[in-house]
Amino acid sequence: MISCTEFIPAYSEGFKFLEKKGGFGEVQEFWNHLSDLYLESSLKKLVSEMGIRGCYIYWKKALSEEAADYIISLDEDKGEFRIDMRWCPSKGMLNELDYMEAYDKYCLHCPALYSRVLEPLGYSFEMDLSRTDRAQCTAIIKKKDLEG
Amino acid sequence: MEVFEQNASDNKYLHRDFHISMNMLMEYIFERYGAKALTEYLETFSREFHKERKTLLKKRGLVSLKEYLEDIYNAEEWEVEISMTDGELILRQAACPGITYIKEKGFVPIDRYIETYTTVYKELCRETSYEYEMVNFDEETGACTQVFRRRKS
Repeated sequence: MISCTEFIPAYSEGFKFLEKKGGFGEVQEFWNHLSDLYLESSLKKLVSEMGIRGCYIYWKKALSEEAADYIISLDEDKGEFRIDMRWCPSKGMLNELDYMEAYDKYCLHCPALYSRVLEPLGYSFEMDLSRTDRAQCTAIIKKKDLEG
Repeated sequence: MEVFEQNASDNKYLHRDFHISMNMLMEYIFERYGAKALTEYLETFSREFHKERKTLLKKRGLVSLKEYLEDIYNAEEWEVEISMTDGELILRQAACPGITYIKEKGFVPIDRYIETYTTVYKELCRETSYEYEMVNFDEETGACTQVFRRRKS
């Protein structure tokens, strides 16, 4: 069995496997595939129906189930949603598994998966990945026509 | 402005949607590269992820595997019957947590889902004094009986 609690190392190994098969382009291709299949009925549906609040609902559930350490903030007037990740359980787990070499571009899967869904709905998705060695990051999603 | 804050310790780490992502990753590898590649991927994962567990298995024997398996089934909040006799560790489950969740959410588990058990655990046992056998497996539910036992010399 691969428990859902063991998925992150399996995911990381999957990215390494795909990169070995077809380069980084192949990994990106998989991320696109996953985004189209997996986020269609969750994030895409929520944001299509509820606007920026859909992001708040989606990540509140997902990050709670993942036992992340975070602050999320929603400003509907400004059309902005923000995630301040103080400890990402996925990256944190990979950092702690020192006997395994994590995929070096692991954290790039987040912007790849989410921007593909959000951009066509009229939202920008920006991430600061400069602190992933501490399992920290920031993501900001903004309604494009309200950006100023 | 609405703000929500959560500490890691506020929740249990149990994001069952990862079963769906795992299934999609395996399906992608299978459809793109074939059955051999899927097996190769799972073997590589097992070799890397279970590296320390294999060392423990060599040093402490089946009891180390029993402890590990009890831990992950507890983490999954999933019922399993684990028994250990002389030289044999037997697991019986009425359903697989992955297959059950994937189906519940309207997705279809890949035909080779069994490999998340067989390939992973055979690789874990490779080059140890133990072997793994999937005695029976219901493709629909993942109900199964698995045995780890000391190899006959």
